[in-house]
Parts: sequence; structure tokens; C-alpha cells
Amino acid sequence: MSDFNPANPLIVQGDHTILIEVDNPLYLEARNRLLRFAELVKSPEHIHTYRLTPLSIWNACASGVEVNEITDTLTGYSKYKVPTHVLIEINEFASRYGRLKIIKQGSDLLLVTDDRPLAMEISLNRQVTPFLGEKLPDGSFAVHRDNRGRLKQALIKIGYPAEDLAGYTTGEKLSFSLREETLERLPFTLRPYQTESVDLFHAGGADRGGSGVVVLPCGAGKTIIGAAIMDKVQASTLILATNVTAVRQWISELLDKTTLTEDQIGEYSGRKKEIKPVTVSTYQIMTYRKSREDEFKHMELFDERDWGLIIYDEVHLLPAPVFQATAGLQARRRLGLTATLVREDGLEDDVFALIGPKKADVPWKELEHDGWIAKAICTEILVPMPENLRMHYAVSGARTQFRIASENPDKLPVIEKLIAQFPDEQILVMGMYVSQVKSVGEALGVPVLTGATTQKKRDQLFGDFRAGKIRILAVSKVANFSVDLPDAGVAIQISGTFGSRQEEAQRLGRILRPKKGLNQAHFFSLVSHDTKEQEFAMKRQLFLCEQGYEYKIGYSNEIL
Amino acid sequence: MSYLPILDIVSKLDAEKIKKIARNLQVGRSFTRKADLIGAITHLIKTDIQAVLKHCSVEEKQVLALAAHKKGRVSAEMFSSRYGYGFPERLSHYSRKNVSPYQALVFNEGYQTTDLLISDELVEILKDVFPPPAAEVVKTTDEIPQKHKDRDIQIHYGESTVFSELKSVLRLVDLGKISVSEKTRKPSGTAVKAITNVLSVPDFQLEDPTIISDPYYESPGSVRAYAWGILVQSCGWSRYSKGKLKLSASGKKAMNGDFEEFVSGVWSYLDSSKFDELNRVKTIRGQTGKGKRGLTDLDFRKPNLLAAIHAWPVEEWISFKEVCRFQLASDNSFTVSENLWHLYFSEKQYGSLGYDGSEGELEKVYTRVFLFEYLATLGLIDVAYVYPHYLWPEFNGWWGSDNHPFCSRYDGLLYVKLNPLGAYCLDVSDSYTPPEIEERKFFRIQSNMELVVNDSSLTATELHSLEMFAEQTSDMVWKVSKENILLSIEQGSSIDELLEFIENHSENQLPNTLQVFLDDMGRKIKSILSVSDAVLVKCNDSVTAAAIASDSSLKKICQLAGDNSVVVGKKNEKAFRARLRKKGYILPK
Repeated sequence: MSDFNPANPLIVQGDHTILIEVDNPLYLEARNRLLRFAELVKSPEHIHTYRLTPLSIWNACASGVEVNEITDTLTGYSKYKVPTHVLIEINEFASRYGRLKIIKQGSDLLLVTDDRPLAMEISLNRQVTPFLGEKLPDGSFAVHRDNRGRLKQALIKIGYPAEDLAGYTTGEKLSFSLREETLERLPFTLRPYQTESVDLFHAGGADRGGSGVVVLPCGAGKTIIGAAIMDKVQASTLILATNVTAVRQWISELLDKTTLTEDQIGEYSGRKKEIKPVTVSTYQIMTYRKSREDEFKHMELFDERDWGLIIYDEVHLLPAPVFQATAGLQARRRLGLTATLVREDGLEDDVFALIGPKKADVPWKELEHDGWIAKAICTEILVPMPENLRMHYAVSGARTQFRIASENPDKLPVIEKLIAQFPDEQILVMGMYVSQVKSVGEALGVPVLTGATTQKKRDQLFGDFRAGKIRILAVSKVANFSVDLPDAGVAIQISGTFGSRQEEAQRLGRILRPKKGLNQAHFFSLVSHDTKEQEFAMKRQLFLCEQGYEYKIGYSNEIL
Repeated sequence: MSYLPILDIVSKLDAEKIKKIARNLQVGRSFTRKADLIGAITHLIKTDIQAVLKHCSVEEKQVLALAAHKKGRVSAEMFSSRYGYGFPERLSHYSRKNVSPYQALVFNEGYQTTDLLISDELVEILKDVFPPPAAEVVKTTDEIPQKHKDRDIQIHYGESTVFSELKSVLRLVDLGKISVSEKTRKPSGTAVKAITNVLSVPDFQLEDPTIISDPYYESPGSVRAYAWGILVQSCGWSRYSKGKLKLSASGKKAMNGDFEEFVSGVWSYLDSSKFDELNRVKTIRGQTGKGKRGLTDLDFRKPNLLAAIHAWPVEEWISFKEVCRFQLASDNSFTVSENLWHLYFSEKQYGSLGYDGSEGELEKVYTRVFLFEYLATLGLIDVAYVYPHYLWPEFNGWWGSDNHPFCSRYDGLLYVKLNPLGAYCLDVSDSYTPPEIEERKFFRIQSNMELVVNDSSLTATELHSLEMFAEQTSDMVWKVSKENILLSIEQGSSIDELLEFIENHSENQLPNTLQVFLDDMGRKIKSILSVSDAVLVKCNDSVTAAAIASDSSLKKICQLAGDNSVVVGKKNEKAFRARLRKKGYILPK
């Protein structure tokens, strides 16, 4: 084969990144193969970047992909010769997966391997030995059940991920089913990609399935997948979410889409401490302690019932102490849900070891194409600073400058104009500063939702918004996570945090629900021109472009 | 040409040789006196030269033929360059019985020269006998090898880059960024560095990759970057002013792409004798001492070099060895020094170039500098080269040379090619059509400010251009860099140029995000108008500073800077001093 095949869509680089041309006729074919063993890093308009990592290869191995498939895909679809060291390293990574297995023999757990030198190596490794029991005559090691998670964690750190075939406890039985009609009598069925994800995770109840992560973009119905997997498992379930609003959202979705009743679902939060067959809690309460020296007393929740399934919502935000607790829960089925496997703290390998390998990953472009999520158009509007604030801005410190720019009063007429442009859309006005959100809300004469709004009022506002009684809602950052506002077609961000990627994704996620007609959603971001705010907006812009959103920049005078 | 008559030349031989030649030619059999025999031989030469020539060897006839058409003079170098072997010496062709009449036809001038001469009388006779020798032809090279002594051969095509490079350099001059020595007018290290940064393609790659990490490693340094510092002066595109170069009127024209100005600048350089290119060869010492007196005029060396270049074929590679051979064979030899004894390597006594064995070597060294550093920089010739370390093509093994890794940074010059631009500028051809530079679309630019190149082997020019505004993040991916853009603009580039470059080379249109980013940069850049010198006047206390800054006669020419200082524009310093004195203050000198 020639070293240069210009018709091919891939470029494999020496740093293990893979570039793929989106407009190449072979794009879809190559992308679908690539997805199985590489992680998407960024997807701007023309060329997407994927990365090969030991984890991505092990994820692939865990889902049954052979190493030859990986190397054949790379060499077969690459424009240029694939760097030899990349191929060698792929083989090396893949060869490490499955050389160690955790199996169950009677009531005992064993770490087994056919590779005697490897057995010797791990038996001498200081990171691993604390979690290994006695060495048995056949070369395997006894493993105490409490050490199952920590051993997997230690093994992945030294580059030998163990295949966990020890199975799960069935947990406390819970009978329920998915509804065919929601409470509002709307028909409900799983979408094809949701069914596929559920099947891949559950693996027909086999030991190879039952733990892992499902990666889906915002708005693709991760809660539905959670509910469907619960339906497959039919056991008591503990759900951990990011905050109380998300907890409520889970509860209302479960009530809406399953036959579970209110007395079967409990909320375990700062306000309520219900433990029921299905319990929904927050990471925050789990990691709460009075002082640094205290125990995480709410972690006991993990042992309060014989959970058959634990669901980790937004698994990329899972806090470290919950990882620790999860290490002791390896006998239970575990489902991670997320829009991205990339963690800001780099603990992806802990997710792999303790929650499980990636089971499904549906590219959002595909969902957008099929109409399951709305097409988002992001527009940044640059608003000049008013003359009377320019000097004040110029002589202020960086943090104050950011605030002055964020609260630029000239944003208000732009907001009004934008609202006027979308008379039939549900509109969210989002801001970081409560005072700004309040004053904008007041000026527009729309209700305001902030951290200080009571939960009752919050539920009422969300309800009204959902029902279409309120068309415009001004919200502070409290609405960032897991608030499901089904019909918000337009979001206007009037100020943001210092370029947080998470926040950006979450805010955008609010408007990705499928829309009638053109199925389009608009995300406007108002930014003061030539200011610190623009510098941070630039990071946001890069992030969204790399996520593949269409991103335009305009000037306020073009609108006013 | 010698005005000596044939008779005098024959008379230079001793009686013994005269007799043998006469016997050989079968003339003056009855004569016994030397004068009679000389007369008879001379007569035969004048009346029946063919009878004389039939007793000469082929090589001797070659000397005579050459002399007949080269104004009566043949140099050893010219002859050997042409025929590949040395010419027959006048007195060496001796045998007991026969002495060739050749010895009666040629003579040596003086004691030191090895040139052979014939009388102008004989020139006239021989002209009719020998047809003019075929014009010497330069031997060209069909294909340049990839390696030379295990080193990768690099090729520099000057024609495609010279004009953009010249523009960038002249812009630096215009920005006052080229400082030169007041005494020598040679560019300073800072100036060379500044020029290096704006070269369209990186300077010649002369570093030895195998030993660059050696602590004693000697870097060959800059070539084109330095040459431009000289050329902008020699070509008349700049003039000296207070330690810096300023753009001249013709420089402005050249900067605006006036081609005629470029050609005229080239000739100004070729006619200029301001800078001796040999000075760039630092290993040969004595050039600024006694050796300087022996150095020949530049307007003697360059025309000879140019005369030979005139006969070079256009667009054909010629080995440097062949360049030197042809220089001599085409009778365009020149000397660099009339007195080699004062030029030396390392030490005057032992390392002197005056010792035997240096013939023609210094001229080759000079030719290297002229071609590699100046003509290649002007884009008139293309060059193929390797790094110079331990090649020693000239002065190999010379005493003192082992103190240096190379004779000159130009030692690696292997091949040259006269390109169409050079042919036109040097009057070899009558017209010039600039090459159509292919605007290759070699990257795609995305809204996340990344460029993905579509070719794994970019040219040096392409790589260099990308570096002007982006940073490479992986094999094929580059990221637009604000810092790189600002640096390029500081060195004279502009946002408009960048936009033009992207438009010409990107497969897709400029994304809106990048357009806004560049617009913002462009606007910000224009926010600061200029830089000018100022005097900071520090006062004892804030009250004095405030009093000065708010004084009705002073406030127009100064302003408060911080609590205790006042800043005054340099141009207002004099007025400020005078007005300050009126207020009873003195500004210390």
C-alpha cells in the first residue's frame, strides 16, 4: 500500500491524536469505527480530533474490540503512513487488558492470570500488594471482597487494568416497568439509540455488563436511559445527582416515565432524609461533614439498603470521596451517565476502574441530524462599554474589570431587541451576578430565579415556564445544572463565570431539547467589547467551536 | 601581448639550444655563429610556420593556438582548466638530441609568473594557422545528489523569496531597526537577529546537527541575514544616519516592489567596492593589517566573476568545482591578493598563505562568499549546499587550519544555478518574466483558531509563514497565536498581509471568529500611535511635581507622571529647561 492515500479521511499523528475530515465521503464509515476505540477531543466544523489513550484502548477491549480492528481501521483509513510507534503502543496497551481477571470462586474472589512473570511483578508492586491476599499454588491471588475496588484502582495505576468478572449482588428486588404513556398521556417509547445504550450496558444481565458509563450529549435523555436500565435490573436503586434541583428532576422523570410511585422514591438531601427502594441524593450531601476531621456520615447511605444498582449522574463531576466509597461497592451494578468523559481533575482512570468502562457513546451530531436534539446556533454579541464607564473600567483591578464589563448596562437594550426577535419562543436570560439578573428581570418585567428563591417558588416557576405560562425567565447560575426546561428555545447569557467549560455546556444544554419546525435553538452571549469579559468569552468560544456548535460573532450595533 | 619581436624571443635561448633547434628544423646548416642561426630560425618562423609547428608536440600546439587567440598569453591555470593537464614548460622539454622549436616561440615574463607568452608578431602569424579555440563550455549537472559526504544537501531557490524578503528587510530599515557600526557600517548583532526573524525562509542551514551540542561547537552564524544588512547599503536602498540605516528614496521604491529599482540596486552592489566580501572569512587573518595592502580592488574581482557568469547556462545546475574551472578556462581569472605573505591562518609565520600550494585557493574562497552570501541572497542564483564543518575544500591541511572547524561558513557550497531573475539582472537575457508562484492551498482554518495542514512535508517558506502567526501543536495542527502575530507586526508585518496570506493559502474562508479576532487585534494595534523619547524629571516631593505640571507656561510641554515625577517630551526638553529656569528651578544635566 502506498504511504499517501489522499482520498482517506484520517491523519494519525505521532502524539496519538487522530484528525478526521468531516466532509470526506468516508467520514461516517471511519468515524463509526474510530468511536469504538478513541475519544473525541474536539469537533469544530471541518476537522475533528480524536485521541487514543490507554483508557480508550481498554474501553475498546472491554467492549470486545480486537486490536487488529483498531490497527486496521487506522491504517486502512489514514491518508499518511501511521507512525509505527503508535501502532506498537496500541498493541502494547491492548495486550495489557484482560491479562488480569477478577473472578468469583465459590464465595471467594480471586485475581488470576496466565502470565507468571506478571503475577510475580504485581506481587512485588508496593501499590498493589496491600490489596492482595494470599498467593495460591496455581499462581492466583485471593482478594478480600472489600479490596475489590481498590485493587482495580491500583492495577490501573500501574497500567494493568483487571477485567472484573466476579459478578454482582442482585440487590433488593423492586418490581416496576416503563410506562407506555406519560402522566400527561403523551406516548412514550425509548429512542433507538437509548435502547441500544441500555442493551449494551445490561448485556443481557451477564457479568461482562452491568457496570460502566454511557456517554450522551446534553438533552439526549440520560435520565430516560437511567430509568430504562433500572427497569432491566429490577432492583432497588441509589441515584446520585449534582444538586437538589437535579434530584427533583430525577424524581419527576421517574414518576412520569415509570410505574414507580411516590412512596417508592425517596429524596435524600439536606432537607429530607428519605431512604426508599429508589433513593435520589446529591454528591453534596454525600460528601458533607462538619469539619475536615469528621467522617462523611452520609456515606452510610451506600449501606443503608441492599442496592442492586447505583447511578452516578454527571459522572465527570463525581467527587473524590464518593470514589473512595464506590471502591467498596464493586459488587453492585454501577451506571455512570455523562456528556463527556473528560474530567478537569484527570481522574478518568478512576472512573474506568471503579464505575466501569465506556459502554455507549452517541455523537451529538448524529442525534442532531436525526432530530433528537435541537441544532444550536451560538452567537456572541459584542457590546461596547458606555463612555462614562470606560475610564472607571480602565483603572480597576482585573476582577473588578470583569464585573464592570459583565454588568455593562448597554446590554439591556440588546436583550430587549433579541427578545423582540423571538416573540414565539420560550426564553431564558442567564447571568452570573444576582444583582444583574434581578435588575434585568425588573427592567424586562419577568420573573427572576436565584439561589435565594425557595424550592417551592422555584418548582412553581419551572412549572409555569414548562407550561408556557411564563415566556421569559431570568435565572442566575443556580439553573445551570440538570434543570430540565423543555421548551426553552432561546438562551441569552448576559454574564458568565471565568470561562468555565462545564458551565457553558450546561447552559447550552438547557436549550437542546427537540424543537418544532426547524428544530433550532439559539444561544446568545452578550459580551462587552475590548474587555476582560471578551478574553474569557474567547475561551468559551473556543470550547463551543470545538464542541462543534456553529458560532458567530456580531456587534450590538448590527442589532440595535 | 608582448611587443618583443620574434627575434628577441629566440635570442633568449642559449647557443646550445639554438643549435639543436636549428638542426631539428634543418635550417642554417652552414652557419656556425649563434646570431646567424637565430636569424635563420626567426626567418623560418616568419615565412613557414607550418614547418616549425610540425616539430612541436600536440600540447605545445595547444599552448600556441590558445596564445594566438588570447592576446599572446596563456596562464597555467587557464590551460590546465581547459585541458585537464598542465602545459609544457618552456625549458623542461629538453632532450640531448632534439629541442622543440616551441622553446623559441614562447617565453616567461619575469621570474615569478608561470604564464607563457608569445610575441605579438607571432600572434598575427598563428592566428591564420589556428582557428579560434572552441568557446569554453560550462559543464552542467543533470541531477543533484541527495547527499554529500553523508550530509543532506539543502537547496535554496532565491527567485521565489527574494522580493518578499527584501520588502520585509526594507520595512525593518524603515522602522529604524537596523543598526550598523559607525566605523565599518556593518550590521550589528541585533540587526542581524532582527533580519533573521523576517526572512521569508529561514537562513541557510549551516549548523552541524551531529555536534551542535558540543560545548566547543563553532556556529557558522548568519549568511542571508547578514548579507541583507550589507546589501541594503551597497544597493543604495538605505543610508546611514546616527548609527542606524534609513530608507533612501530608491529604497522606498524597492520596498514598493519597483522591479527596475531592484535591478539598478543589484548593479550598484556589483559596482560597489565599499565592503570586501573576503572580510566575511574570519579564519584568514591579516585582512585588516598588512594583508589589506595586497588585496586587489573589488572592481577588478567582481567584473571577472561576472564575465564568467555571463557564459553560464540559465536554469542549469553547475558544481562549484566547475564554476572555478570555468572561471580560469574562460580566461576570467582574477587574484584576490597580490601579496599572500601577509594573509595567514592562526599565526603569521607558519600559517601564511604565501607558501607554495595556495595558488588559486583564495580566489575560490572569495568566489564562495560572493556567490553564496550575496548573489544567492539577491535571489540571482539558486544554491545547493551542506553544512561546512570539516570539509575544507580549500586550504585543506594548511598550517593553523586545524584550529578551525571550517575555512569559511561557505565551504559547503556545492552547486549553483543561474535563475531567470539572475540572467536578466546580470544581462545574460533580455527579458524577464517572474515565475508564477503557485498559491498553494495547504491548510484549512477552523473557527477554534486551529489550522490543519494538508501536506506532511511543507516547504520551508510555508513553515516559516505559518510561524509568523501560529504555533505548531502537533504534526499537522497549528494554533493561531496572538503573541506570534504581535511579534510579526512589530517586525513590520501587518494584519492585512496576514489576511491576504490566509486568503491565498487556506482551503476555506476565514471563519467569522478569526475575522473578529484579527479585527480586534488590528484596532488595538492602532491604539498606540508612536514611540518617542522623553525625559523623566524626578522631583523631591509631590508638591513640586504638581506645581511644575500645573504651571501655566510648563503644562503644555510636560505632564505629571506618578506622584513625584514629571515627564517631558525629548523634543521639548530645551524649552522646558528654559521655562523651568524662569521659575527658579534647574534641571540637572
